[in-house]
Amino acid sequence: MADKSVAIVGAAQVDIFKTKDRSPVGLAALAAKRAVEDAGLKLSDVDALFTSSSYYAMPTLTMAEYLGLSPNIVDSTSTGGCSFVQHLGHAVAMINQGLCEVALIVYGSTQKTDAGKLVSIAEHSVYEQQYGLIHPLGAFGLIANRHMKEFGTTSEQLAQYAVSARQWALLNPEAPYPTALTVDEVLNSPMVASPLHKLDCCLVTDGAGAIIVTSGKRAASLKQKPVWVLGTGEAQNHRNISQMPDFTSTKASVSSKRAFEQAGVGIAEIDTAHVYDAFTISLLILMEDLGFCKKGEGGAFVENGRLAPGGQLSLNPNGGGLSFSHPGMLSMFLIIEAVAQLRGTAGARQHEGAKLSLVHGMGMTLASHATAILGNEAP
Amino acid sequence: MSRPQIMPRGEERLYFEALAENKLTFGFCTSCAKAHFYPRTVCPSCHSDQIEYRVSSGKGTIYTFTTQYRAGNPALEDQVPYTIVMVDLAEGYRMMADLLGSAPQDIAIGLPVVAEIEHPENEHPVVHFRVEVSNG
Repeated sequence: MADKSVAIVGAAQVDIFKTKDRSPVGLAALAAKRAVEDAGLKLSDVDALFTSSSYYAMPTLTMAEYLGLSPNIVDSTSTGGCSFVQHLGHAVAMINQGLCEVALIVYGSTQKTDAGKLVSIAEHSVYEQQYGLIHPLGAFGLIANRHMKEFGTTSEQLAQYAVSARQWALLNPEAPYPTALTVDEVLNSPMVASPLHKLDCCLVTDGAGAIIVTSGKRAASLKQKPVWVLGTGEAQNHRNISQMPDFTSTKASVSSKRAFEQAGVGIAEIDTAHVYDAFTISLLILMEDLGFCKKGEGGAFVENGRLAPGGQLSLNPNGGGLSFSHPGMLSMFLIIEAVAQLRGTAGARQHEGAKLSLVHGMGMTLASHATAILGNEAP
Repeated sequence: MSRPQIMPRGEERLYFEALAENKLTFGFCTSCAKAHFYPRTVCPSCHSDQIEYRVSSGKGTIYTFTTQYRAGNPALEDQVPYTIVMVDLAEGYRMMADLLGSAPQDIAIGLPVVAEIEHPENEHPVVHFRVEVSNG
């Protein structure tokens, strides 16, 4: 075990489809409690708090107050859905700096209970707001049309990913829709923002999740087999979709390169991938930029069940944002599924013998990116 | 046509004041000679503060578009379906607006478009684009 090794030692998710009588912070508090219990720790052991929120403008204050915590250091880095993968990278750095030892990264949302509307305290650009772009769906319509024009990507290809995600979800007893999906069903679902249909879009669910991160030294005495954080990287290039320099390529290429270099592994060694699938098109572009296929070949890559169970890659085996859970910010749940796969506790959807996982979070409209490489063998 | 209300400040306000005079403006850095949009106080390419707010021809081509069948804001519910475009302007910048006067099936990437400025009463001006009809 290397001196600077850091591991995820606890993880929990709560009410990942529908909650009752729990506020966003109340739901997050329960996830935090269950994650420390999973680790064999107590909430009073937590000395660093990381969170982001669509509800609370100063979320670390809100969370710490609710839990009665007084952390030594906090980080509310807020870059949309990828925030928690960024928090993970920051937690590693802080632990290695000796600023803290037990970090809690936590998130809670009640978006489904809130009438299924995406909740957001985010401001709007005065240069975009007059036009009534649906956030974030309209932006992904703009992105998808450009990808189709440049590379010949088709709606059928996008639909194939939605179908594969549902096949994975059928192996997950916690997933909300226990029936298979067909390409025709996706294509015949209502067009919302051309060329994207309703079933090209993620679910809107409630849910909370939390992970506990600590030093390798501390991890050695804890309950769970550690899931090591082998490498992390982040990158970003815009806030508003109108400022995205090239609508078909993202900084995921940069964040993943940093994470792979730090981990000292290559993409061919990855057993399970957990990649932000808010929309079929976002998944497809991220697969290109992460290097699973070449730029422009994402459409062909998702065809022929390559990403379905039994295919080439175990991608989002819990069903992902499209068919499992998407409570506003997805990346917490990508990490938690990677932890389950690396612990070998993922049941029917377990990738046998999984040793290395890639987690990639995307924030806003392909704006911010954070990649983590996780493994179950000590570095 | 009522629009979502905005509160522009500083250089944002200057942009809307220019629109009120029928001028679509963009940022031009006199240090590196690059155009940018939205107009900034510091050049996003070379970080100079030698920025001019220049008037655009309003002519460009569609970089990408989406037609929305649901409104992104309650003020626009009576407008659906409507089309939002990203336009590459002749002066070398790109901006978002909506496209008026074209049926969804007639809209394509690469079509030439031209800006027009609407002046709603008691609201901020709004830039729209229309497909440019060739005279030839």
